[in-house]
Amino acid sequence: MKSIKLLIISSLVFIFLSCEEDFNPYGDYFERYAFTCILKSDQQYQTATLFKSYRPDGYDPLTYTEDPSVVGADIRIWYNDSVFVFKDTSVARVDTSRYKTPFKFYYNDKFRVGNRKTIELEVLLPNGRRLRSSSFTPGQIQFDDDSDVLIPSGGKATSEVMWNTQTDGTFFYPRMSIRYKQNVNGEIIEKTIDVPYKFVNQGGSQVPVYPAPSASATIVYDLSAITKTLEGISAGDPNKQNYSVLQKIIFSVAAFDLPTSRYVSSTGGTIDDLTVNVDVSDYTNIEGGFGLFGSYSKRDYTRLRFVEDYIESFGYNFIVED
Amino acid sequence: MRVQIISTLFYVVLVLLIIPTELIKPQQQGNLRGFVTDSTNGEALVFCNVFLKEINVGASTNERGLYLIKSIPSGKEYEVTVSYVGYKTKVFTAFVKPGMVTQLDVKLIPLSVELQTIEKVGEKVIHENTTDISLERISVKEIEIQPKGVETDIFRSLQYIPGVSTTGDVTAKFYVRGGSGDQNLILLNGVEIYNPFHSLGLFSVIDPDMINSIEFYKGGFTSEYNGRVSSVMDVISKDGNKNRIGFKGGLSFLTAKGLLEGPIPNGSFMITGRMSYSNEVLKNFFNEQTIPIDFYDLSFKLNYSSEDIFENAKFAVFGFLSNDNVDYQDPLREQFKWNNNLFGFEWLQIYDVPLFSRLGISLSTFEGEVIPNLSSLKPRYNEVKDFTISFDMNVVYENRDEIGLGLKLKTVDTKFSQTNFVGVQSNVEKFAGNLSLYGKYKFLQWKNFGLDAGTRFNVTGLSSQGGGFFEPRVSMTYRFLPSVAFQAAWGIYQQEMLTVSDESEIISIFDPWIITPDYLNPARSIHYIAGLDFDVSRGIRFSVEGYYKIIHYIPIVNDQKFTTSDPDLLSGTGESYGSELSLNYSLDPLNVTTSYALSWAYKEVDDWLYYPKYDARHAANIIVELNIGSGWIASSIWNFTSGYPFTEMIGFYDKYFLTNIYSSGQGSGEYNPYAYLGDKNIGRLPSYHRLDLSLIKRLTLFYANIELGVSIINVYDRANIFYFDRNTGEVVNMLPFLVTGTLKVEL
Repeated sequence: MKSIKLLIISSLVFIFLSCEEDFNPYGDYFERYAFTCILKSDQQYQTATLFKSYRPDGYDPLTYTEDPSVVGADIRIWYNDSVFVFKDTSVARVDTSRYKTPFKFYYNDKFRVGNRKTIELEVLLPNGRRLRSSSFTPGQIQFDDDSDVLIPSGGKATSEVMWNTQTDGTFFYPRMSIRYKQNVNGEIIEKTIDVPYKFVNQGGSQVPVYPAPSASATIVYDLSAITKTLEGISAGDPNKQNYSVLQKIIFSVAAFDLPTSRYVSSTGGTIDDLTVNVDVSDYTNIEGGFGLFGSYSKRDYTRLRFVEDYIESFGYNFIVED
Repeated sequence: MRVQIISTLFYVVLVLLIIPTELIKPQQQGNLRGFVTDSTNGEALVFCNVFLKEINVGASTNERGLYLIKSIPSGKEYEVTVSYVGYKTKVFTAFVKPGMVTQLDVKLIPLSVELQTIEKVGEKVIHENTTDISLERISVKEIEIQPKGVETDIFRSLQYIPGVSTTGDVTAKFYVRGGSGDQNLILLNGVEIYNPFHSLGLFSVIDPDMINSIEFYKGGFTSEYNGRVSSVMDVISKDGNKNRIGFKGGLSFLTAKGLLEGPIPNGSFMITGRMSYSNEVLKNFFNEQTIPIDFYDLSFKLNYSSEDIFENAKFAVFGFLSNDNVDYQDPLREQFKWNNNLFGFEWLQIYDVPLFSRLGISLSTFEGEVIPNLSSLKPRYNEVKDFTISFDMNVVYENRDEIGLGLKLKTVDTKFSQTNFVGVQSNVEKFAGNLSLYGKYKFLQWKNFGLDAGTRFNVTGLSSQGGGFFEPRVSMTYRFLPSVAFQAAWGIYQQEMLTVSDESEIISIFDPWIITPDYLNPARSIHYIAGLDFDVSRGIRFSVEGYYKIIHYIPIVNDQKFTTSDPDLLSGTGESYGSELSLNYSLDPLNVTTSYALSWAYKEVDDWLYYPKYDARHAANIIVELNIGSGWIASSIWNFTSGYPFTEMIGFYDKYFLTNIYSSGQGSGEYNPYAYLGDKNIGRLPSYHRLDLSLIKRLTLFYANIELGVSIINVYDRANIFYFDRNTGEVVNMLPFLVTGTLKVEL
């Protein structure tokens, strides 16, 4: 009987002691490099970043505070039969909660990219490793309507803008902004405000929803969202006459090249909040490393204009531009 | 090519076997046939033994409760013993007429204390030459007394069968002998259910209260089944109480359910419903997340049998509906919906000669949808409409041999659309038909040898490359010693429908079904199984099985699909092998089952070999059930599995996330740590083990039978790792110590 009791007790002790086991999610470490560069069509100042990988002491990567930037790399981009060499530089870091050193990056301020051009990249790291990539810049954005589009438009509750680049798989990122001037104690301050395409009711409060990058080549703005935005610029201020809204609305669309579209899609959120995927694929077009080498082109649509009566209905002044 | 050579050889052997067989003997003998039912409700009792003591022969009832004993020396009276677990054994006298079928229907009375183990009379004789390797007959009554996470669940009970694995407590999805989840055929009354899971795979949609019998083939299944390459679960629902109106109600921490059944003129009906009313308990499954899951399932069956219309015919109309919805009631959050609808008609006919037939007509649909609303998710949609007509017949010869023949016409209409992680759209729509025929010969005339040899032939295929394909199969038993039988099975199987699921998802909300696309061959597997079955002594049984399974053309999701013209799927190969041992001791009041499985599973795609996520080297279970008496029943389950594969993390890099390109400088995006990984599934999680206990009390109060149950899950609070969240560095564990309760009332 004694031996049975001993057996039971020792079994229980064994079982309870084995309730948790050490688990190490790490495999053997090998260093990798991440290069990121999205070339722009609307400016000559192009930037790139180059980081090395790291492994923190524990599992929380935020505990690793040594700046992983790699300086001294030879970065060359071939575009339009020319080669552009990037130089390294640094700026003060906006967020110093993790890395204390200045933010290091590479730049070249001598070119902007056009439409439908091949771009090629080669990065020679200080340790002799090479990263390579290439892409093809996106096509020209064509807007579907060449005549002025008025807001509001003939009693319609929505305003729609459509465009295309004749390229499959392109992601677009549209934005609408209202420009206005505010008289603050006699000083005229110019401001812009981004316009959500709709407001939704979330738990009793109205929440703005802004456009996000997607494959959709159209966007529909609710007039109510534009109205709410216009109301918002003078919220709490009874002196509506201090506000002047410009007639022309800024509407811009950025079209990404295919690698950037894929990258943006793959980093644009999880599949959903419920699915648990333990090996999420990591998109990159950098041979030998991680990151992205891509481009985007941006174009403004200048045909969107406010109707004077509509702006004045808020008590604002209406500014007509040439 | 290799498969075709094997098929040809098989037919040569089959013909050689059949030709010398003496099919029909002079009609100097008689046959005994009938249905065995529960006396209280008229439900068919399946796998019940009917035994003739004088000549030491017997038969077991089939899934409809029908038995047939052939070639009985006629003109005599026999003592017929009918026995079944949990029922009072009955002895009858029957006179067997020469050259005729003598009908003897039997009603057995259930014992007041359920699960009392009554040894089935003639068990050894009846199953001497039964060709049932890798077949598990699952008793719902046994499942009901097992500890429950929240609900009694037939799929969760499968994980205690050697050879069946799951990737965690959170999911009832199962994997059989190295096959993936979509390679398991789930049939309800012979009709396929495409997505048999509620709540992200937590529970099966099939409420155990509606089940009469379950047969589960881990492999080596015979020619009457088709469409999957790994396993078959064949669930037959209850007919409904033929004697009186009855009602059952049940309550768990998650659902409320009810069952109404009763007689109708010349038949019976049964209707069951179950719906979720609270999802608080689900927090234990979802890492303390509150997920607004609502679900219900509803099933019905109507039986009709009248001698005035068709003699010895039985008609049934049945239906099954399940619906799940995840709705956050927030326009900025996504919404998920999925449902199964199934309707069927069945005509069972017994003829004056030993011939049975079954005609089935059914429609089974599945629809699943991810509605992004204003979230960043991408819309996904899947629809399946499966219309099937099947006809099966079974002829039994005087020498006990049988011939089975059948045909099945299936049309499937699928629609599938989704956008993958790099934003590339897939739109797949296909309507196709599969006409298949099967024929098989069951050689049962030798008492110590049984053989089931047959083939299925796909006249046309759902996929463009699935037609004109033979699926030969053979299963045999040779009892070379009275208590030891050698069993073996071999077969070729084809599967033309698959789920486009990312196999890295350990919880998946969207498992869309499509027909194998034209650019791929349909998946084809070959099973090789052999084993020994020992009846060690009274109440003790030991079995050992070894298997090898190879699956060609396994479709695997292409995670390098970067353009619409890239294929959604790639073709891979799967291979698995292993051995399984089980030891069962069953003598009132104790029932102990222990099992152990040693297994290996691999997949290979693009010359890259890896372990699938459900590959575990060792698995062991110990199940103890004790009938304490006075309505008290206790049970415990200890389950051990060696570590599942996982992909190791190598390190992190700072990854760029574009936030707003309209901002300049550092504001256009942000850099966040992102884990990069090593070779797929090369690491192993720590081993899994868990002890669950259950105590049930059954009592009668006034006119109600009441069952109160309490389960303790993970008694010693083992921290079994479910997965490692690389974003947070958090180890997410499976179910912690948990106490759950159930209440059932039967009027």
